[in-house]
Amino acid sequence: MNRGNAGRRRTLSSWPAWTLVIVAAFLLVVVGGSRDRGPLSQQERIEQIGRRIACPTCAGESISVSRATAALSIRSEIARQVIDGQRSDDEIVGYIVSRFGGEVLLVPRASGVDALVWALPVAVAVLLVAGLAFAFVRWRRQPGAPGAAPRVPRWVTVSVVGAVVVVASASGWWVARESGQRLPGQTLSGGIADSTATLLSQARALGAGDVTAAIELYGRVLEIDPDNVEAITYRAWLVSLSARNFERALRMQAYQAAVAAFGRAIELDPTYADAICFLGIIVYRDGDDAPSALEFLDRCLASAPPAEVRTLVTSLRDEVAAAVGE
Amino acid sequence: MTSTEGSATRVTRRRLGAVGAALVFVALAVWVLASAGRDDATARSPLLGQPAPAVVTTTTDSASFDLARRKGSWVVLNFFNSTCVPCIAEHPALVSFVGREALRADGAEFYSVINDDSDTAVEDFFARRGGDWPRLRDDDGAIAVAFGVAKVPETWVIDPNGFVRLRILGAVNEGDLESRLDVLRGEQ
Amino acid sequence: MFAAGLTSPLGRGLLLVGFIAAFFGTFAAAVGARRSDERTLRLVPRFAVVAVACAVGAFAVMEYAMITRDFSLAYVQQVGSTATPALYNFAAVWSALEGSILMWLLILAGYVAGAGWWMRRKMTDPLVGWAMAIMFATLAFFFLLSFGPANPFALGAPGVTDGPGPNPLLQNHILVMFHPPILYLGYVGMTVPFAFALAALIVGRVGDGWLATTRRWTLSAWGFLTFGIALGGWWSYEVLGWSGVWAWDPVENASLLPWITGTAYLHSVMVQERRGILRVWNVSLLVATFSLTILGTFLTRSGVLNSVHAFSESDIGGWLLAMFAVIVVVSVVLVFLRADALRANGPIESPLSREGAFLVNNVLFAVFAFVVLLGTVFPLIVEVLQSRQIVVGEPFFDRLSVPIGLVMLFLMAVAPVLPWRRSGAAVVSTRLAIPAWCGVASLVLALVLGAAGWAPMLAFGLGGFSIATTIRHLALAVRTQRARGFVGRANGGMIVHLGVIFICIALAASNGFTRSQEFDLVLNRPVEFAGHSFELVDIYESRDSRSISVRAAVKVDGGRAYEPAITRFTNVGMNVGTPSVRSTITHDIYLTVEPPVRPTSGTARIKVFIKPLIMWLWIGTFVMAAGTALAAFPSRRRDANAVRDSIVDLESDDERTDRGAVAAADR
Repeated sequence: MNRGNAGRRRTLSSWPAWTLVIVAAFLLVVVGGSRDRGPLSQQERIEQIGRRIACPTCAGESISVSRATAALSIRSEIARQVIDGQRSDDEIVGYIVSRFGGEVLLVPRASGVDALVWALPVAVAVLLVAGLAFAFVRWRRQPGAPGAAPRVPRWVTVSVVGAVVVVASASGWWVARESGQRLPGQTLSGGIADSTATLLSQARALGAGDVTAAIELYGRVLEIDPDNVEAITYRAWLVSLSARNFERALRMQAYQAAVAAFGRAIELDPTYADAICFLGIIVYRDGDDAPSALEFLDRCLASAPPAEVRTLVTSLRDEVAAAVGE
Repeated sequence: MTSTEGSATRVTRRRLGAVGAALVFVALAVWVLASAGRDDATARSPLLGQPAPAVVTTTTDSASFDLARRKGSWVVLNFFNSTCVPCIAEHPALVSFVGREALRADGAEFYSVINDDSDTAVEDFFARRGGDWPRLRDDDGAIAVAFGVAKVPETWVIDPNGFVRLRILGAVNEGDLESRLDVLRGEQ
Repeated sequence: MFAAGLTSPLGRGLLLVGFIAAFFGTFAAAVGARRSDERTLRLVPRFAVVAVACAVGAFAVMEYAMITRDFSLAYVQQVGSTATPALYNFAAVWSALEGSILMWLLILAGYVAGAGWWMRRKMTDPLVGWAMAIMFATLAFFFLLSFGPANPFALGAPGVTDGPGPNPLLQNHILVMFHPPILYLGYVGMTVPFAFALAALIVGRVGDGWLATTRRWTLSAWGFLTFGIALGGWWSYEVLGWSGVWAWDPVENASLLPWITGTAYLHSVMVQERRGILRVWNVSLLVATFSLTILGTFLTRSGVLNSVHAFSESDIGGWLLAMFAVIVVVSVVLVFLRADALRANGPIESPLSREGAFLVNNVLFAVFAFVVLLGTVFPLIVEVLQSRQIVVGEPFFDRLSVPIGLVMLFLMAVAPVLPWRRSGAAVVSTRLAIPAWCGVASLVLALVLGAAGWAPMLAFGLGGFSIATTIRHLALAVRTQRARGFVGRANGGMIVHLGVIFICIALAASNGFTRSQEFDLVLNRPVEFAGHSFELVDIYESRDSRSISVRAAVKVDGGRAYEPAITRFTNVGMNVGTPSVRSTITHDIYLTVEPPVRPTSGTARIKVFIKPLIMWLWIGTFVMAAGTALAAFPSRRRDANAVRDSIVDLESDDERTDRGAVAAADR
């Protein structure tokens, strides 16, 4: 019956029904919107991170999409770090960026020139909507009278335009901040290797120039990683170098300590050439034991030491060999 | 009350202004699009001047290798692949470089890092083209990622203190590596 | 059968003759139109015939060379191969730059000839003359490109007997036969309405006659473009193996941009027909659509940006950029010269009217086009300004297009019930009541099925809301007009909307709720994931003349085996992964196999993606295609006054009610 239809329609379109529908929709959206989708599997997390990083050889494709070698390698690295579990998504992205440069970032940054790509569309959208609103207001004012000058005072127009521009820029800036990539600072968390590597290289650079500072740096490395063979060896070496200037008793003490340290280093890593080399050197110089020294030096040379140590050793070895020969 | 003539000139001026603005915009667009092109790859890297990343792997002879243990020597890492054309082209230059460094007491140590290739192909490559320095395995490309190497060949130079000093993208020219290493040694 | 040595001169000769024909055709049409010289104008179709014959001939020569593996040509050396199967070899012609320009030329010549034939009786009209002149000018440009910088008939190095074939990604799936030609039919088709728009400006007849004339051209070009873009998405899904349909790749964006402005035009033009306003805007949209096709080709073919489609680079960039600049400058100047005649200042009574909705729609699409254009071009801008490379990728586009999509859904829901010329405040609450409850019902359904997250929930709710409105319109139309309730602009348009809504819902579901996991499957040991079981039953190798494939057969739920593969194309040394998909109406199970995989090892690393509602993307595409076809179908008998015809097309049941109400109120 038409009457019934119309009556039903009138009930549905009445304001209580509309309030109900709007409230119901709102509640449902809120419930669904705040619902947790559950934890991502590791694979999904890797995909998600991968989608933020571009394949460096394909320009434009993310590493989740690309099949290039470089993309697969980076994916493996991300997989390693995800499984490791120590770094957050942002930190993993930051790590990849720290190696490949900012060019692999698929998400434009939240600040700087890059942020313009976020901010401009939002600002343009706000401006266009404001323009549309203004047009509607103007049409409402003088229906059917084109070209009539608006009687709005100038300051109102200026302030409205100003407000719109402010809102446009602010929303653009806000979207850039929310959606843009923010990279963690220079120092990245996690991994003993990262923190000790810097210290070791710095200590190495100081080396013979500033022995005290270098020894201190090696000491710090040993606080973080007590079994760090390089730190053990080179601290002992620097200490025994500086002990040259001391009186005999202290020199002997330093010698014993150094031998113990080198011994520990060799025990920890029998292939570490430097420890064997230094041991040979001090055994000859301070221990006056030429035969043992020769043995250590030969072992050292057989373990392919780096150039600096090798130069030290080769020049000394002849002297030691001569001493043994006597 | 504005005369019709006045409003007409105003309209014409406004129109001309708009046309002018459009032309300026088009000119700008054309300038941007025309001048942007792929540069030659510059050898920048966030790693320059930083301690070298950890490299712990094995050689093709199954000996172990740890970059950190090589402190005390200049180390040159060359990322390559047996099929890439520039790698093949630069190989003689590398052979002569390694030969020269072998004569010096403080000679640089040279290692090739295999990028997405099999051991057999690499051994074959070296058997045919000469060169007898250690080849490092890089399964999964972890070393390449650590250095940010996307395309081969790439050559990296690390100083005796363990800091990354030089990155060369693409094939190395004859004598190029020697002269650049000499410059770095001079600075040391 | 002629000697191989003749291919190149024959092809180039045909291109040269075609260029001359197009060149003289331009002048004939322009001079004839300017002087209203009927005799000259009547000659114009002849030039079109010659030009299209040359274009077809050149394309045929190219295909002949490709099929007979004539390696004297550099292009065949580049993309031809003795090992490529016949079908892919045929398609290899458009697999790289020169051949695709040749295809563009062929399609454009076809359109020009088609326009010439369709307008043959009106050829003496200066408007048509100028339109033909502009079309011939564009054709001449492309003939010149094909003769010069993008020469497909250049001779290659002597003594070559085989080639690498097209990119292995293009030898994998039959879609390569359809996607580029259909996309080009859309792309290139935009030339015709553009030419008529400029002609109208030149001649000064800026009323709506030319609009009505070209309406079906624009609609069919748009339809092909839509279908072509969707086929590209399907190709990406079936071939590329990353389980996605759209990567916001620069080439994809280049094809999307004209689609966005084209869609905006198709909607905005309805306001112009009813109220005579927005003429400058609509002409600008048409100009933008066409110039974006040229700009898009520049961006993807000049090597300025790289992408999956970047198969070659050449110096064609400068030419295309110059063409783009010329088009924009000429159009802008013309619009400003005719600004007085174009400008019409009708007020729009209320934002809650149909016109108001279309205006909001214009703003929405303008913002969308700006987002896509800025994102695509931004790396170039930064490179020029700061000399550093950046990439703008998926995350940017996804993030910004989601709110746009949601507003679009809302508009699709509300706009069809709004009346013309007056505020819909009174009727909106009645007409939208049931659809609103449908929206709530779809929200409940979504919640029950496990949806979460703001954007997906809003998408599902608005999707249900807009489907209900659309079906309401169609139901009313069918009730009053029976079968004719499905044809005509308004009804066909509603069916297209239905397809769009399906696609939006499918995208919301698949982008947000894809589950994936990687398994190291061991032979005959099933694993469970997401309610399905996967069992590796076989790993085997298959070879053919150009490739070695390793396939892993995986039984899903104990049923048939799906076989993702990794194929190594031996002569190029490239690995291509091929996925295997089980599609159902609710979700797809997408399987890929990861390298390395060996038949002897007994294990394979299989990646499983569970992608909800993907099938609805393709259903939506076909609904859109059907709707476009139905919209082009005339709903009344062809009238002499096409403008009145198109206004009557628009009328829906609602509007008749509105008209009646207004008439009643006037009484």
